[in-house]
Amino acid sequence: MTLGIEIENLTVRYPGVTAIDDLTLKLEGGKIYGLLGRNGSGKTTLLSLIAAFRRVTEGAILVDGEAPFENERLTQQICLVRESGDIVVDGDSVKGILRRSRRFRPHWDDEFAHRLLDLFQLPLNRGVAKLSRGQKSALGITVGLASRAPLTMLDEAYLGMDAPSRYAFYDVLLEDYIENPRTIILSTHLIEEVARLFEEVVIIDRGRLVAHDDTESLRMRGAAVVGPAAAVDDFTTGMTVLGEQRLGGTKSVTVYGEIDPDARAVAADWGLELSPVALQDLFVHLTKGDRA
Amino acid sequence: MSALTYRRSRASFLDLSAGFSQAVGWFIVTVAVIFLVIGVIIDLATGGTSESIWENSAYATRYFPLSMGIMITAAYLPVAVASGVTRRSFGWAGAGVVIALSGLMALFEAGGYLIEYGLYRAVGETPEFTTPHLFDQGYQFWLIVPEVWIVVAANVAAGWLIGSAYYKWGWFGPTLALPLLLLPLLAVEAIMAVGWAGAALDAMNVEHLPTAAAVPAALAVLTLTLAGIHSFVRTIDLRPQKA
Amino acid sequence: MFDDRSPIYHQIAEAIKNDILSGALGADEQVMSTNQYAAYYRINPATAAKGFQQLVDEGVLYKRRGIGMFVSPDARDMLLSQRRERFFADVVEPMIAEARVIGIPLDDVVARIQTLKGRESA
Repeated sequence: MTLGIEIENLTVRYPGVTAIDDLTLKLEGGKIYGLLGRNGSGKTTLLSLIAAFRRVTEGAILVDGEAPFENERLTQQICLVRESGDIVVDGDSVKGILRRSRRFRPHWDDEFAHRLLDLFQLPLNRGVAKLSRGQKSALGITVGLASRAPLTMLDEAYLGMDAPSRYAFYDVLLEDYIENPRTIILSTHLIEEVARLFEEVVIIDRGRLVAHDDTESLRMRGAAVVGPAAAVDDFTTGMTVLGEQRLGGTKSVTVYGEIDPDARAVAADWGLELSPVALQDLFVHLTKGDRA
Repeated sequence: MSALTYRRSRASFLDLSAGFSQAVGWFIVTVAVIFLVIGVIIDLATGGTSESIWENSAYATRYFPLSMGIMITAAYLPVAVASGVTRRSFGWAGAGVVIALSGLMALFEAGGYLIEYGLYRAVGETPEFTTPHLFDQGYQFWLIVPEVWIVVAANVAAGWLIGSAYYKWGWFGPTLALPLLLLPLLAVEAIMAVGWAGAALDAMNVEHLPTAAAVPAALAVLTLTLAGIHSFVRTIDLRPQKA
Repeated sequence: MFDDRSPIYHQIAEAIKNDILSGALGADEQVMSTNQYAAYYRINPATAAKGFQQLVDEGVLYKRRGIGMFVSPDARDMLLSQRRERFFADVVEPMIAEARVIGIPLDDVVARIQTLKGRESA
């Protein structure tokens, strides 16, 4: 079972800042989504609203066709792990967290949870307060995955985890998703490692939707045009330019948008090189902007 | 209440109980040791007064549960909501904790009075009470249990209300509004003629309500308080996570 | 395994085609499932499925309901003829263009090819 999400004209204002700004977005169930945005772009706020951690005040969020706030049928099927997780009370041990999740999560898989603890080398009897940053993240991931919630959201889940643990997480996430298909949203600002796990990518910046597309299409939509400065300038006139760099007489301009075969022919004719842009670079360009 | 709400409330209640059980257990042991064992023995050994020592434990069995009440929302609302429990179900669980914790305290208190009564009687004394109560003998557990239950419940509820207000609004507003937040507790104490409010009324020579009227009236105030907290809790957004 | 230069599903299709051309995958041999493939290469299963679907559309693979995907009997011949057709456009013409840019006379290129050919037949 999977849950789809519809967001319409969602706005969230905090004192002095608009965290989510008129966001409209539709996510089908059963896919792995990457939610990309810089720190403070509104990722956590958005996920907190979907998970009914906060009440929607302007606009609407529907999960499986219903508003999730105070909707028990939905909330028990939605699991959001914010960084290290909100499910820890001072004094809790790793074991206590598992006991709690077993109690609250209808699809909880205890065996899988223990396998994850082994994988991340988390001691069962250790107090959560004594865990390192990376171990807390691993505990959050363990709870997030073993809950098998039809809508699972992990917000910057890997903070403090070393590379081997992160890759172990990606492997186990994919393996478990294949065995138990569900809607998964991973929010991140470190894109390179995880981009290939995403079926679709949502990029938000300052609370606004910047892009939502399947990962491959999005990746192919960016292009770097490299060649003699004058020719590059001519070629890119009228295109959405995300960034440019110059080295002597050579210029490289990153553009965003479809480049049709005719335009490609022209580029070849003019001696310009067109190359795809890594998702990470595209993300940086799309969310670059002055901020305090 | 739907079957689902019941199931989720029950799970949340058990989670809260599991979290509180250790502290409550230690509290009970500590209070029993201090007031019963040490207090009574010293009193008997020194051939002291016939005044009840156990009576003084009442302050502990009110204020400790009040402090637990403060933790209900502050520590466990985020846990419940992040575990997919609605505030509605959490509210029922919190009300359950208020009733269960105060019930436990009532049994504990009644047991203490009974033991103390037995010990005093063994040396030919009868414990006497210096503060107002519904009961006047240590063996009257049928009066002790309702009195302590209602009064402690009002204390836990007050703690829950205060803790919820601090969680929602931060420290400034609720600190200013503290007297307001304590109003339901004072009302219950006044109606039952116990605690600070009871003592104040005594000092002013105000007539006590008869037990048959005081108990239902106090229960009504308590029910209203819990209902109020329940609807208040349902409006609380989780705070952003600490960095 | 994959790079950023083209869509990953395209690279998956190319990799399987190369396996068929090299003989690593024979006619009517079963290929990995999309899920196995996705888990192995750590990519989204939908992306892997897209690559496989492309191969089915091109007739390189065929599906057997409930069992999996297999290499078409004529896949290798088909791919060979495609590659042969593309050979001049993809390999020879860019080579000549490059030779021109860096100033190698075409006669030298031809001579070199003759030498290699002679060595091979010897």
